[in-house]
Amino acid sequence: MSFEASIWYLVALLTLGTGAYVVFTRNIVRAAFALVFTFLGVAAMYVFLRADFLAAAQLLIYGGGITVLLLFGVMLTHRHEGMELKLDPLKALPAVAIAGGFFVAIWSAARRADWDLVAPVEPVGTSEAIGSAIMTTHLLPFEEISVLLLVVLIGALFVARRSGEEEGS
Amino acid sequence: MPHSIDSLSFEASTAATIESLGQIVPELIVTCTVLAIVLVDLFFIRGKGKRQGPLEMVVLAGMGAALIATWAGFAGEPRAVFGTMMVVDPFSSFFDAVFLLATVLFVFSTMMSNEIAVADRSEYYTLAVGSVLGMMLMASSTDMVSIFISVEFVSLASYVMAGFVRGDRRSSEASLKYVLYGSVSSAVLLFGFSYLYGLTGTTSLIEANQVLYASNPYPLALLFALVLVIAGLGFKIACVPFHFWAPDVYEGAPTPVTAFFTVAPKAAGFALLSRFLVTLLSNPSTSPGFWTFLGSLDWPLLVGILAAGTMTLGNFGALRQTNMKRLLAYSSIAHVGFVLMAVSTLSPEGLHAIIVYMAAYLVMNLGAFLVVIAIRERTGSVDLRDYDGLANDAPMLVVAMVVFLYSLTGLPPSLGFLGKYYVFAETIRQEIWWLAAIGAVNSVIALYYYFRVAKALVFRPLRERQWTGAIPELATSLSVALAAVTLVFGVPWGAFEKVTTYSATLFLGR
Repeated sequence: MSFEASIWYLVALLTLGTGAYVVFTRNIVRAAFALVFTFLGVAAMYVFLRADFLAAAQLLIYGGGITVLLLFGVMLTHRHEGMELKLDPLKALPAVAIAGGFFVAIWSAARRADWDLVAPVEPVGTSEAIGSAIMTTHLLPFEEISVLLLVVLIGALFVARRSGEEEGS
Repeated sequence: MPHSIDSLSFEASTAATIESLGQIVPELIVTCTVLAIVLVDLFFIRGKGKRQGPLEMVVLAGMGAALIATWAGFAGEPRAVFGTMMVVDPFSSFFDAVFLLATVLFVFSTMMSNEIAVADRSEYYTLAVGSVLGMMLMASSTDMVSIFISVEFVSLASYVMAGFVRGDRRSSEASLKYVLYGSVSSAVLLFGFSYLYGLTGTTSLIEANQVLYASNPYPLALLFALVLVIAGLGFKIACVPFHFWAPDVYEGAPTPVTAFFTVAPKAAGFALLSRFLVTLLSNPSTSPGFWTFLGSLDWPLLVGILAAGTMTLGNFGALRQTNMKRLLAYSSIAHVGFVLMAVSTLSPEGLHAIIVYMAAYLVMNLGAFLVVIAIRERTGSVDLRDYDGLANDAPMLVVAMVVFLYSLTGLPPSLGFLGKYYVFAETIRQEIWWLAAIGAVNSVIALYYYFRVAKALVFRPLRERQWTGAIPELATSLSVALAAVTLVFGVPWGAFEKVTTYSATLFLGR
């Protein structure tokens, strides 16, 4: 096993392990912390895929921003420690069965499909290509997102203001 | 691959972008309307003395201008803009008009309802008009990137709109349910897209179509990808078995929003679904006007089964409802089944049937909801038991309601009949007998619960009670006008036929 491959397996183990912890733990604060490591693992996966810009974005937005927001949200909404998540093994059975069936379907489809493969390339910066794509071929989705963000911000403000007023009254 | 920013190609693409912008004037007008709502609210409506009027004028003016622009572009050559990100063709223009008209009726129904506080109207209209922009993009997107963004656009705005009643637990619950189910369905859709991208190496549907026909990929992987995409979109249009969120959300949301949800986003979902299937899967080498599809898999059967399940479960669900919003929610699921029946034929005639059906559904369903809103103003209730004998109280309104119910059932001569006629005609022409039979049985079931409403309104005695308000004048005149449209257009009419047939033209990049 080459050095790169062994690192890859290590990262995969970290991602899956912490991911499983997020799902199975009963303590929501611990779950949120474990999620940081899952996100970091995914960022590392992007590095292996030569997607440096995506890795940086994943690190900044998910590893940093989203998890911090999540933790703040959890800590501010559950003032009393010990909000336990319910895990009912009996109810989990059908979920496991469906998830298992889904996994088999993905696996058998993925294994035999002729994927449109790209030969491994030397690591090169992708930011420039992404930047020029956003300004040329993908200008429309970029602008769509800017309008979307405006609308969503207004919606978020409405929701926040409303719940604030409800608490006040 | 690293692109070097070549100034020549950059200039060429800038020129192409500017040219493309000229092709999407209706979308630009709607975008400007969103901004105008925010600015008008900021500068012209001050303090606590908020009143109805200015914002509604802005929205109506914006929608009117966009409608004119849509009409002006309707006869244009079908074309792709922004590369192959989206296309502008009669099909997309027709659906744009459906969304814009639905928004106009939505504004009127909001004005006559007291469910939305006047102080919240600017956010409310921003979200609604924003979602209309998303729908217009949904109807014309031919690239998985822009498809996903536009679908999310509509979904995110809808989540907030469903919870727009202050301090109402039902409404908040509807909103939360919508968010949870909606985000899962978006993830499913995206996962399907990732498979398609992996198989074809492109996000453009037009290019992916050519790759699929050139390479003939492993059928199981393609089936898996498409089942995921159809499931993701199925959630958005509430087709069985992805419909379970719909009755709760439609009941909890403010009534004008429910009315809007049952028509506009569904039309957008159908426009996207049919464009997606035809653009991606139809054989590029056959002549226009006749489509054949990737061999190996039986798409019509797959969609047909969904259609049969959707209309049957929707109708049986509606049978026992006493809440009008829930009843119309289940009935809208049943109508989704009928439209899916048209989708399953996968032919230009089927596309024509979808177009006629959606136009008919727009008029009759929004009409029925207008009456429900008006009655809610009068009796303070959306319960069927409070509908007894209202024909004596508001005769014109009830006459209009009976016309809408008649049309929703699909009896001639009405718009609803015309819609069903084209759906059945195409199903029978393709000799899908089992589906036609299930559809026929379902029409009879629908007759029962629609006429239960009509019976309560007309034949039961009016009870003594406390009225909570008056029937809005606007509601009566508007619903009578819509009822007239339902009947007049229910007679096959040359120009209508011509417009809808022309609207079934898709740009497929060939």
